[in-house]
Amino acid sequence: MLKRFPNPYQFSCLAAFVLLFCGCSPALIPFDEKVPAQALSYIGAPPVFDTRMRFREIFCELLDDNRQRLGLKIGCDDYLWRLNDEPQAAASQKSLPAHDPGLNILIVPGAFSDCFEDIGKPYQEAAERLRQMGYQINNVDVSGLSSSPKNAEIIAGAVGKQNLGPSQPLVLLGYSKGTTDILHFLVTYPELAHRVTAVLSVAGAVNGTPLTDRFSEAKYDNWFARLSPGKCRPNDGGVFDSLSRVQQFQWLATHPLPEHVRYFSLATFARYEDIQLHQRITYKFLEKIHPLNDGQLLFLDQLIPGSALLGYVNADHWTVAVPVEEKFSDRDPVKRAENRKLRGLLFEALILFLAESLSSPL
Amino acid sequence: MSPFQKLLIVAIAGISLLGCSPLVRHEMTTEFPASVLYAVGTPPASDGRARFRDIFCRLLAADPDYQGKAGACENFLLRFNDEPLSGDIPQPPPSQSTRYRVMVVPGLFNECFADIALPFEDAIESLNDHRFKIDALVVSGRSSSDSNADYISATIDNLQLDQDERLVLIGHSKGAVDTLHYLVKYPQASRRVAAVVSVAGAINGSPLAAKGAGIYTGLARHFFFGQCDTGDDGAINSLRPAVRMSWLAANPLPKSARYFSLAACTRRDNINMLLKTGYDLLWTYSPRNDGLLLISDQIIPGGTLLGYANADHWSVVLPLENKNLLISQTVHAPQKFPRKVLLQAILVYVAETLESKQE
Repeated sequence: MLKRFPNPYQFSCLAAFVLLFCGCSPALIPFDEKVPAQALSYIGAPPVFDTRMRFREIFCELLDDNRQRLGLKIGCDDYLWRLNDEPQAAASQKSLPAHDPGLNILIVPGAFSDCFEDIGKPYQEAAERLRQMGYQINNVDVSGLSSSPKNAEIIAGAVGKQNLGPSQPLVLLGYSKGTTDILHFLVTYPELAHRVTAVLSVAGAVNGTPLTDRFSEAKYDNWFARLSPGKCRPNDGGVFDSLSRVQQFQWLATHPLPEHVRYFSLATFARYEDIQLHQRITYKFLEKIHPLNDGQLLFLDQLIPGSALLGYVNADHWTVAVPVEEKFSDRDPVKRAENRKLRGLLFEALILFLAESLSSPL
Repeated sequence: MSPFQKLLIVAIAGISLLGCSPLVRHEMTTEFPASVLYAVGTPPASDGRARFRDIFCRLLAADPDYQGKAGACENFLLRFNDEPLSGDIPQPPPSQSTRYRVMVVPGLFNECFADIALPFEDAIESLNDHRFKIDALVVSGRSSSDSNADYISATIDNLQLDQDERLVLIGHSKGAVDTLHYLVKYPQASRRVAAVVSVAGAINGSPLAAKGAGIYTGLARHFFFGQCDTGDDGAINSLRPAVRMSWLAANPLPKSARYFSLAACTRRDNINMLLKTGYDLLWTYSPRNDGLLLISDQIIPGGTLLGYANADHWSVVLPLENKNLLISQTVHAPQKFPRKVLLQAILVYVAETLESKQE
């Protein structure tokens, strides 16, 4: 008789399917990219301003120039979302800016980065190519399970060690929680922050994420820290606190960012079917608040106050910067190869955009 | 079962349970900063909370109904932890010679239930200040904001203002949206408007309308129980977040008028019985809502934030508890919200701002 019931594995899968897809509390807002760019911030925050048009020009031209060589078929507008308020390009487009190998770039990875070193650093392949062109690009080995204040200390050490030439710009590129760590560094170490010219956030957890508030509240943070999913370095275990929307919002409202630094934000979101399998459950959680999310963050939480908005990449939270799916899944090899190439082009476009922007005053 | 399958069961079960409950579980709290959602490129709101609190609290303390009630002011006006402390900046008292013509534009479906209550109707009756002449400008309860903009335009075009009279429009809920549409659609004629005040205004729309548009179109419109014309039947659609945010991004507000926002939110136990479902649905986003709108959606871009009324979406303006009707039983009102004081404080603040701008 008992054999007629599904085994626990089948039963769990069935229950999960019913609970997740029949919907305990359905999403109110449908997926619709015909909306303007939006930011959620505190009262009095400096507003985000729009530079999407120029970033699109640079990325699209780079894509077109390399399309044949890389065998890419994707359209530019399929990779960079065009929301309904993005200005149309001018009739006569400016040409691609020149590379400026004088830029010194420090890349700060996101949460759990040291726990999964096999995956690689954000933009690892692309950075290697640009190093060969003369750029100084280095990674900051922050602690993947530590709080932003702890990682701010590590970033301060790395910034202090940089051998900068006279007027050589130092750019901090933050991916995901790396952005949060950088912002904490700028505020906590104002002397060292003066060495920084610009901060570029890619899928940055600027306001934190609602996922973490729920996770911390349920005390899964301790459970997860003990589980230690990979080979994480010693840490203060504060990663979830620093990604808590409540805490990060409070921090932003009470810690104005230094005005001498220029800020740039690139955000991400994707449709459910384009989210890699490992992030679909978290996408579904966030969908209840807003379907425009990347599986980890809402699109309106990713913009640094007072930053220039570069655009919205049609990719999930990992694919935009790190090859998680390429390492752990054999799903759709053509798509995975395309993602790797697009990531490389995206990184180069970001660097070109910075080179052009930083060569002109605000 | 393999260890992998066991781990998957634990993960799926845990995550499924999490998924069944809202991501946000905490009660409505003022212990972290107030927030605003804005379309990129729109001007930021400025913070007038400290001065508004100063005015509101002084008027409340002088009101016979609330005299001697300790903490009444803090109860009625929420203090989020980012609110600046009162600067005690001495302000010149508003001029006694400037007079204000005030038109109050009600919200969604209010026309259909106008015999029950209109915004601030009790406050208008009892406000004894010769500087302010206040009337209701009742727009179509079921029409789109664009259509109601035409109606507001026609009404204001026919309005005779004295030379020393300035025009202030107060919009409740969708009434605030209709008013903004009027200003954008009729930029020349609307130069007569000195100020627009949004009270619990649906500036960015409401996630409830995103879902409600379909339900209303498919079902509710056929069984509508209020007494009003269908108009163009576009009211709910006008409140969809995508529609509202797109409109705000594409339509800069005229600089000829000053803009002010007073938002509302309260704890669940203060929410009208009829609004509790809306409150619970919005809780997924944030418990900081008034039963129909999130606080982050109630602020006009480029305007001045006056504060946060500790009231639900209706109690902040509608005197439902005064009615000898069934709907009065739905109101949870341990203490009646001081709508007269609120209206007076809003008008004093607006007058003060307009007159200091003149100088």
